[in-house]
Amino acid sequence: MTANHEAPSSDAPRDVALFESEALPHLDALYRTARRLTSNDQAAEDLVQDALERAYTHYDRFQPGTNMRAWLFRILSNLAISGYRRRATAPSVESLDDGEEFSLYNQLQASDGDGSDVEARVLDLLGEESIRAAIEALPMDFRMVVLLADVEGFAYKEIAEILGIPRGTVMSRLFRGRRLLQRSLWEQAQAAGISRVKEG
Amino acid sequence: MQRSMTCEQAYDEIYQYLDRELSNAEISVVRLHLENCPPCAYLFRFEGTVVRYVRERSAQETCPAAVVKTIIMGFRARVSARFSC
Repeated sequence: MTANHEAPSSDAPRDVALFESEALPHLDALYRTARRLTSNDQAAEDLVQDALERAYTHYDRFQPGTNMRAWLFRILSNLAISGYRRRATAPSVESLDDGEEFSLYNQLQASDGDGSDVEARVLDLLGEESIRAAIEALPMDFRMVVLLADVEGFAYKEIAEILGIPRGTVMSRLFRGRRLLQRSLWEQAQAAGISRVKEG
Repeated sequence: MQRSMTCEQAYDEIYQYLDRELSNAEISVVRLHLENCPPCAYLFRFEGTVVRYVRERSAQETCPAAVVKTIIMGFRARVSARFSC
C-alpha cells in the first residue's frame, strides 16, 4: 500500500522486520511509560506509535550494539515532552517547593507514636493503583525521571542522556519527585482511611 | 584511613546509595556510618523498601494484547505508506 499524497522515499531505512525484532521487545515498557505520561489509553497508544515511527525513520542513525531501549525511550520522551509543552498550562518546576521535604517515614512515625512496624504499614499504602495514581499526579519533569529511574530502572547517566539534562538535575528531580510521590501516597492513604495522624 | 560522615551527609547520599550510583569507596563510607547509626540504618532500609515496592508494583504492567496488535498494525501501515515497502 502506497500513499499517494506523500512520495515514497527511496532511502528507506533498514528493513522493518529487523527494526521490529529490536524495538518490539520494549513495547510493554514504552507503553506503560506512555500511559503514565499521558494518563490516557488512546493518547498512550498514539504516543508509542509515533515513537516507533520516528525511531524507524531514523533507524539508520542508531548504532547497532548500543542501547536500543535507551534510544527508544529518548525518542518517546522527546515526543511526550514536546506534546505536553504544547498543551500545558502550568508545567512549573519552579513553583513546586511545597512537599519537597515530605517524608513518608516521618509521617508514619508521627502517626504511629512509638515508630514500630513502620515498614509493615507502608506496604498497605503501596497498592498498584495507588502507585499509578501517585505517579500520574507528579508534575511532568518529575514524573519522567521517576518513571525512568524507579519503574524502568535506568541509571542516572542513562536518564541524563535520554532527557538531555545534566546528571545533577536527574538527581535533584529524582529526590524531589520521590518526596512528592511519598506525599501523594500518604494523602491517598489518609483519604482511604488506612492511616491517620495521631491527634496531638 | 576511612573518612566518617554525619547523618546529614549520609542523608544527602541516600538515593545515590540505594540506586547503586556511588563508587565502592563512597559506599564504604556510607556503610560505616550506617553500622554506627541505627536511626540512619533504619531510615535507609525504609526508603529502600519504598523504592523497591514502587518498582515491583509498577514494572510488571504490560501492554494489553489488543493494544499491542493495534500499535503494530498502525506502525506497519504508516511505514508502508511512507516508505513504500
